Amino acid sequence: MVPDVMAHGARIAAYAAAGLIGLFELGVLVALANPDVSADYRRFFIDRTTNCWTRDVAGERRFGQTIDMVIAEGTDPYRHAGSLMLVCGWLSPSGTGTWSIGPEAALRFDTSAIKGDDHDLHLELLPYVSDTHPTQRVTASVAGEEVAALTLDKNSLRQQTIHIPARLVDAAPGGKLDLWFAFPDAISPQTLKINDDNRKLAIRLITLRAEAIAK
Amino acid sequence: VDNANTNRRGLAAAPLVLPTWRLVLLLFAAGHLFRYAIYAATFRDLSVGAYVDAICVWDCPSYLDVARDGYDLAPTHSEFAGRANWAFFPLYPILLWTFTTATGATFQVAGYVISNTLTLIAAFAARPLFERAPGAYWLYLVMLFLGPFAVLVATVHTESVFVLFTILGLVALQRGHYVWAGGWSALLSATRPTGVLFTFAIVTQVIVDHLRSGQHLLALPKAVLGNPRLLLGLLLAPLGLFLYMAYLRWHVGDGLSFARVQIAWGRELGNPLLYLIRGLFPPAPLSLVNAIGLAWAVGGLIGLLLCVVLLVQRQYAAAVFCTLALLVSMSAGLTSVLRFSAGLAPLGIALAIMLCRWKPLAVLCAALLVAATIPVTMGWFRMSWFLM
Repeated sequence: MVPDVMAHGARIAAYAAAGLIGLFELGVLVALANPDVSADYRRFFIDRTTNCWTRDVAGERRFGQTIDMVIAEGTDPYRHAGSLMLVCGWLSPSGTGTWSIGPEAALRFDTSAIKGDDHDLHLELLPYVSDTHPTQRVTASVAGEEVAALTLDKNSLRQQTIHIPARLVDAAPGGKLDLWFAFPDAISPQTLKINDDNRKLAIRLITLRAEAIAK
Repeated sequence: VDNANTNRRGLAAAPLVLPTWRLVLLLFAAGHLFRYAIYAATFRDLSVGAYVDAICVWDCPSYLDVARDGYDLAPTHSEFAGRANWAFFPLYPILLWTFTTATGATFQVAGYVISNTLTLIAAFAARPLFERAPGAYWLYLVMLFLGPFAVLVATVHTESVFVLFTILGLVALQRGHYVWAGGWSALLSATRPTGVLFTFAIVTQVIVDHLRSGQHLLALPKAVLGNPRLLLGLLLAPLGLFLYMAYLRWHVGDGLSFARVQIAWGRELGNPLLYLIRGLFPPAPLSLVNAIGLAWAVGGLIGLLLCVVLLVQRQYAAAVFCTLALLVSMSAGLTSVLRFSAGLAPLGIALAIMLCRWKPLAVLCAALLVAATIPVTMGWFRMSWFLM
């Protein structure tokens, strides 16, 4: 290395600038170790205890109608009406359906206009299974109360029904009922050696219909 | 004629009648016309505005978004849970905002002008890196302006800025200007996450220079501490990243949110070589998804092989920078690695110098590269996943 020839004053100035920059960078490093974030942020980004960062979606309110969760090629998935209920844990609706991603997911229903009825949610869905990973367990819950437990394999019926009691519908805060799914067997195509995709998949929704049960 | 004495061998020796700067501008203009012609032929549309819109794909809207609205306070992205724009580093959006504020141009036009202007400056700035193989300079310019990935530096992406500052950093290192190298590195580190890795290029050059001067490696710390310019350069090098992290700590509450937010794109840290091997050897039969992964993996592999070429060419600083940049990029999966490889200027320079050892091969490769530009650019306009 060629010896550096600098005037004394310039050397002092360079050392001072280097010292200031070094101190600043040290301070930033200290600040990095102590993030000041919300509990949701911490769970999602730092502790990674959930894969759900909830979106404040309006919720589905077309009760009695079948909602298509498969979209035609070229359709903007987030202008697709079905996306109004995707709170978290779902990939964007695609031509093959709406895939779950990660160990949990939630759907939202706008129940502000309905009271006093039990509801059935009819799901047409397919599990993500293979010969080496033959089943997908799915549990559904509302406000922490389990409302369904399914074990799906390649021979399972595409049509599954989840019953939601009226008391849970009526108790939905702000008229927004969130139906949470847990997928303990979610697995990635990478783990199944199908491709490099490391996202954990469990089910894909094809259609969905929520309707009140006549008393 | 400013290059009459410099180009004695290689591609440039014969055709250089025009001054260098005119030839550079000619290639630059030819590149523009070529891309525009590809656009016009692809979409049967001659509108320049539509062309500027069409070239703005993949990360382009995200950079426009940051320039227009700033950084998110929390994930608010309408498409995917957890997505926020923190992954898009601030220097390019700052340039967009500044240009737009000063001229009143739209962000898209601003980006187009900025990217192309910086690429042109990069072309001129790269000249000293070809002192030992001046003919290769022209092949590099053909790649930069007319090659298959020329569209990357012409659009609203960070590649143009990254290429320019990498070249300026390497030229500074070549001349032993460590403070300048640190300054360019600071700008690189504010441009993309891998920019901060140029710090290691500076460290490598410092070690190489130290050993070349006949001193022992153990004497290096003392030499560094006794050289305030060098010390300043090394501390300056990651400053852009530190400033961005400080801003994120203040704005979001977490200085590492730019890295943590990657999980919202399904990117998880892993062994880059395992990702590469998996991508290179997909299960049969080859699906479209695996074919895309294979293309990305091949891009990454070629990039790593060119890093070896850099080593052989004794461009140690550039080799360290490119190797680390590729491995860090691949540690989050192979997505976009083809694009990242293409955006590493030293790899293109190494390739040009290597090919120019055999003139006919260089001419053939230049022709093939220009031919490949047509399908690649069409793929870019059509948002081909192969080029994501």
